[in-house]
Parts: sequence; C-alpha cells; structure tokens
Amino acid sequence: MDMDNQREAFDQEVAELLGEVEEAILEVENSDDPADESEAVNRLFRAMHSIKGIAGMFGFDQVTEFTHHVETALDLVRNGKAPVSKELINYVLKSHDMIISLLEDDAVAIPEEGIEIIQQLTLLTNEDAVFDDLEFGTEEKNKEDESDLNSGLVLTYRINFKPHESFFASGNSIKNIFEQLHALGDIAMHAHYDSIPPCDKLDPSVCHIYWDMVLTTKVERDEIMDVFIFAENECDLSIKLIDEVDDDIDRGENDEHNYKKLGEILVDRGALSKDELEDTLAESSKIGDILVKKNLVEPKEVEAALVEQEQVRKVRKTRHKNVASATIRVQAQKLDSLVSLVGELVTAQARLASLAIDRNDAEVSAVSETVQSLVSGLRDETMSIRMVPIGTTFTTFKRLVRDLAGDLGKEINLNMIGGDTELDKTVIERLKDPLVHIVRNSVDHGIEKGEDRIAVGKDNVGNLTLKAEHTGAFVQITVEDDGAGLNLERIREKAIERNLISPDAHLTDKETCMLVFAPGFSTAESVTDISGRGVGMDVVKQNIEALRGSISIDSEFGKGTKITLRLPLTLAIIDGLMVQVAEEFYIIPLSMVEECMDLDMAEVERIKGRNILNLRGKALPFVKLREQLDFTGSEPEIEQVVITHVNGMEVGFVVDHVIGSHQTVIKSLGPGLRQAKHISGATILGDGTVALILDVQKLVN
Amino acid sequence: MACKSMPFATSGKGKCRFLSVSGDAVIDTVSELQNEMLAATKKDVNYLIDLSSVESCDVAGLQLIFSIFSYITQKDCLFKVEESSDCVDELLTLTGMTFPESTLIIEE
Repeated sequence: MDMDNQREAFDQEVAELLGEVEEAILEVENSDDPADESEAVNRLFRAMHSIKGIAGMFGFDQVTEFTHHVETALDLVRNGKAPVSKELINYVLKSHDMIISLLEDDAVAIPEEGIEIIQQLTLLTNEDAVFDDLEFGTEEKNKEDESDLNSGLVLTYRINFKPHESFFASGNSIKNIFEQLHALGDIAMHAHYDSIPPCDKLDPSVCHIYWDMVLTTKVERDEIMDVFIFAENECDLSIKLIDEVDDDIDRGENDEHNYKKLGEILVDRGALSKDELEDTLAESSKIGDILVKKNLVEPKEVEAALVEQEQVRKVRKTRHKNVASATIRVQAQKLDSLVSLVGELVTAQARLASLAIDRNDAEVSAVSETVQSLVSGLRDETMSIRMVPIGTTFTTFKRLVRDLAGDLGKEINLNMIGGDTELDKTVIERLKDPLVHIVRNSVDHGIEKGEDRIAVGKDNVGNLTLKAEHTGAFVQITVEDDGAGLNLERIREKAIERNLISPDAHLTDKETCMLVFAPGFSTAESVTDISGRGVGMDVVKQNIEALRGSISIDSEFGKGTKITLRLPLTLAIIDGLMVQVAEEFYIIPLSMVEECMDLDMAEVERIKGRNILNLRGKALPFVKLREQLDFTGSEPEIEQVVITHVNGMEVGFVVDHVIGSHQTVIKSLGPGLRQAKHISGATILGDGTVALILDVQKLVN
Repeated sequence: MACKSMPFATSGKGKCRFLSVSGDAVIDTVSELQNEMLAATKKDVNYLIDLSSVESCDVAGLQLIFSIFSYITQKDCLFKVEESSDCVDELLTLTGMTFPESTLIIEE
C-alpha cells in the first residue's frame, strides 16, 4: 500500500470517527433516557480513543495530544465522576472542529483556541483542576502530572494479555509493552508458556505465550490501555480494576484480609462461574432453585426469567453476527470504473440486439435475449452498489440546525424521516450544498423567533422536517417548516421591480413561488451572515437541474413553506424514451414521462403565444420539437405528443414518432458541446448512431 | 539492525554436548535459528547450553529457546543452561518467565 493509499484510508477512517463523535454528542444532548445517554457517552469516548490511536500511527502528534485530554475529560463523564452539561457538549463539539483543523493544518503545536478548549473541558469535569498542571509536552511528562493529580490513590488492575497467533507478524513488540507496563508501577506476572511446542514442531512466527498480570499503580486504566494501543487488534486484552486504596488513609490491621475470597477471585477471573462456585460451596442447585426453595419467588417466575435471559442472549448473538458479517470498503474510483464498464456492456448488448433483428437469426436472437437479461441484472446490481442511504447526509444537518438556531436565538426541532432512502453516491455528494442552502434559508428566514411565534398562536419551538422517499424512478426530498411562509405579494412586487414579470402578468401561487429562483432575487429585509443575498436559490436550482432533478416550492403565508426536490436515483444509466424528430433520434428520461398520445389538432389552441392542448378538459402547454430544434421539412401527418411532468407542471413535447423505451447509457458531451442548447448528454444506439438526450427542464424554461 | 548468522558450536564430552547460541535471537532470525538448533541437537544426549553470546533477544527468540528445552526433554535427555546473556536475563525478568530447573549434573 503506497503512502497515498494509506493517507486516503486514514482520512476516510478519521472522517467516519469524527462523524461518530458528532452524532454521539448530539444524541447525548437530545437524550431523555439515562441509559441512552450513557451509551452515547461511551460511543463518544471510544470514537475519541480511536482517533487518538490512528492519529498517533500517522504522526499527528498534536491531534494525539489534544484528543488525549478530551478523552480524559470524557472518561470522567462516562464513569459518572462528572456531569453532562450544555457547556460540556459545546466544548466537545468545539473539540471535534479543532481536530479537523489540526489535521488540515498538520499543526506543529496546539493553537491557543485548542488549549482553551482543553482547559474548559478540564474545568467542567474536574473541579479541583489547576491549569498549571496541564502542560503540553511529552507523554511521559503528562503521565507524571496525572499521577500527581491522583496522589494517594493506589489502583490495582488485573491484566489478561493473550497475543493472537499473528502477533509477531504484526510488528508489535511484547518486550516494549512489558517495559512500559513495568514503568507504570509494581507488577506481578504469571506467564503461561506450557503450550510452547517442541522445537521440531514449532512454527516460530506464531506466539504461544500469554500472561496474567496484576499491576499496582497510580495511573488510570486509560494509561494502561495506551500501552496496548497499537496492539489492541492483535491480542485478547482485559484490564480490570480489582482494588482501589487511598494511600493516605490507614485502614487498619485487618485491611490485608478484607480482599476477595479465592472462590470470588476465580469467578472474577472467569475461571469459575458463580454457579459452579455455589454448587461446590453448598452442593445444592442453582440460584433459581435456592430462591424457589426459600419461597422467595414462584417457579414460573424463574422459568420466565430463564426464557427471557436465553432469548436476549440469542438475539444479541444474532445481531452481533449480522453486524459483523459481510461489509467491505471499496474505493469509489473502482466503483466508477465498474459502472463505466457496465455501461459499455449495455451499449454492446444493444448492438447485439440490433444485429439479431437485422439478420433475423433465431439463434442470435435467443442469445441476445439472454444477454439482455443478464446485462439488466448486472446493471441493477452495479447501480445498487453505488446506492448510499441519504440518512448520512441528513445526520450532518443536526449540527447545522443546532448551531444556526443557537446563533439566531431560535428553538428548532429537526425531524428526519426516510433516512434509509438510498440514492446514488454522486447524487448525494452533489446534493449536500443545495440542501444546506435550503435549510439555512428555512432557519434564517422561515422559522420565526419564539416570541414572534407565540404572538401568532404558534408553539415557541419551530419545526423543520427533512423527508426522503422513493417515488418510482425518483427520490423525493422535502424540506418543510412551519415558519412564516412566503409573502407572495412581496415576491410579486419584487419580480415586477426587477422586470422578471410584467405588472399585468397572471401567475398561480406556485408560479409566483418559483420566482425566488431567479438570479439575485431576494425579498430579505436584511442580509445576515447566514443568508439573504439572493445568490443562493438560483444556484440551488441549477445544481438540482444539473443532477437531472427538479425543484418546486409550496408556501402559505403565516403557515410555512415546503420545498420539494425530485432527483433521479442514478446519473449513469437511465431508462429513456426514444423519440424521432425528422431523421434524428432523441431520448427523453422515462421517469419524466407521464403518457404518450397522438396529437389531435382539433384539441389544439394557440393562446397568448403558447400552444395549448385540451387534455381531458385540462389545458396542457406543449412544445413542438421540430420548431424548437430548428428542423426544416414537413412533419408527418400524425404527430405524437409526449406528456412530461417537469417542475411541478405538465408539459407536452410533440415529436414525429415515439419509438419506445431504451436503456440509456449516458455519455457526457465533450467540452465543445457543453453549451449546446436543450441537450444534456448523448447515448450510443445499437447500430452505432448517436442519440442526444434532451434537457427537458431547459426546454420547458 | 542487520541479522547476523548464528554459528553453533557443539563439542562432545561423553554423553553431554555443549550447545552455544550466539548473535540475534529475534523474530527476523528465528526461522534460520530454529533449523540450526535442530541440526545441533540431533543426537540424543544431554546438553549444556551457553546463551552468553546472544546479543539481542525478543519474545519470539525466547520462545524458540524454550522450545529447544522441550525438544531435548521429549527425547528423555537432560539440559542445563550454563550461562545466559544480559539481554536474555532482562527479557526473562520483563516477561516473568524462568528457565526450567535442570537435574543435569556435570561431573568435573
């Protein structure tokens, strides 16, 4: 693995862990259940610990040092020695941001801001902390300082260390580990080496020795864990506090006799079960029988408890197996290559199908059908590999909404629905910025401050809902708030002022709402740091349309606003409707097509410069592609109209012929053709000719 | 640190032979060392083992040394560690391991 690949793997690992940190601390903040809060704190601690470890492996010493202090504070919290507070949560979030900053800058020293964060976290979790003790130097020095903080408290740990067979090959040094352990305190070791095979049967690369140790020290468990930090995955390790004594307190003569009995120690070490101990001691049956015998519980209660115990064990075992199985990390580049190859295969299959028809060969046709079926399956499976749940994007908004609302002095409840809805990875990546902008708008201009909401009879806490769901070949994402809604009158005035519409234009409410997507359009009374410059929504629309999606707005003044995005599931291969105009073939994305029908001229009217078709009593505007694409020559006697659903409305496209559905592998236009009007891409047909993919949205606009 | 070859010297004294290990007994050299040790202890006799020339030793090397003890005793032979080097002694202390007691008595 070369350095670039290693660094990429490191970046991915850290990004995931930082995501886990952010998610966990926000769960801590929002949790009402102490058990859930505790679980979230533990997850947070483990993620920080892992970041510390891998940062150390890659030489990010400042990150290691910084994270070490954060971890120390979190350890006090998870052990119940320090409370969770809003300030603590804020500083943990700041720690998250500081870690990103340290990594990006490859800092040689922790900046002032980072030191401030550490000091505040220390103050919040250790009332007796003195900042002079917090020096940022070598780890050895830090260990000394921390043991001074614990002066008087002597801790004894049982350490079971069993290297895996592959330990030697991993490059870890047992000698180094023991040198560090010996430096921590007084250690009694028991090495198990009876199972070392004789020399003629030994595989010298395999470790056959394991250790039980008892370490008496003044350091906390984490210091001991740090000794094994690089070997954690190469051994079975257990570190358990078994005794804790305040050196400054005289416990009297009987203290040495007050430790556990032999049987209890054996149970503690796992050498003996509690049941076995009880059997041996009393030569009687299990605790359940004893309790029944003593009339403390009914037999049926014991039976029910045993069934529950067995069931939970079974469920946890199954869950663990499912979670541990079959996930593999693959570079996105490899997936892209695979999709590209599948695309070529689809094109080749189309060529084969075309040849089969031309040659009228039954055998070739049969093979072609088999290949088509296999290629369809392969296409679907390949596309599904690229699918990622949108929940990962939604989760990042928790922090965004929290921070924005905090800055604006608003209280906002963020609901997320349909997080497991899957989208193509590329679509999700490119969707993030537009969604951020929409959410920021909603928080800044949509949802009112608490007192304003109460004044109009609303709850003081605003609601913002992100929802994703599949609708056919699209994913529909809505961002809905119960804020002030759009002031349609104001929008109309602004549009007239900017000559976007004439003063006598008649627009529906929906069409008026869509005016906000015009470049530079903003009705904001003031420009805030967050939004209001009017440069956002037009870019949002462009970004969505670049994804072959559409955006629409529904709003009611005083009640709220709902923005709906419709996005294709994938960008690489789509189902298209092939149409013919003159001698050329075009593709219309099938997901936009509602229906096709013959154009009945008796139902056509021309109203105010627009072609309108009477479609079952409804006025349907339509576009003649021959005219739009500047074709000369006469149209066929009977033309056909393809009715599409675009930007929340229906529009028809008149073509010469509708050919049929076509599995369309999208090829990008070259740089010379990128500015081509009304065309978003191309595809290669079975006979090798090129069909252009119509940019339906631009045609409609 | 480069790995050195591990020359062995065995010298006969009736039914007892000297086995001398020198150089590095570490993970990088244990494979080669194992072959040489087996070759040097082929005969079913007692062994007087000299580890004073072992220059560096890790747990893999120490494990190999212990494995040669078992190999000798499984042939119903005896062994004794005559001398050991500082690095081996240090590792024994660090790991809490001790050489087995031997009943081999060398008559002067």
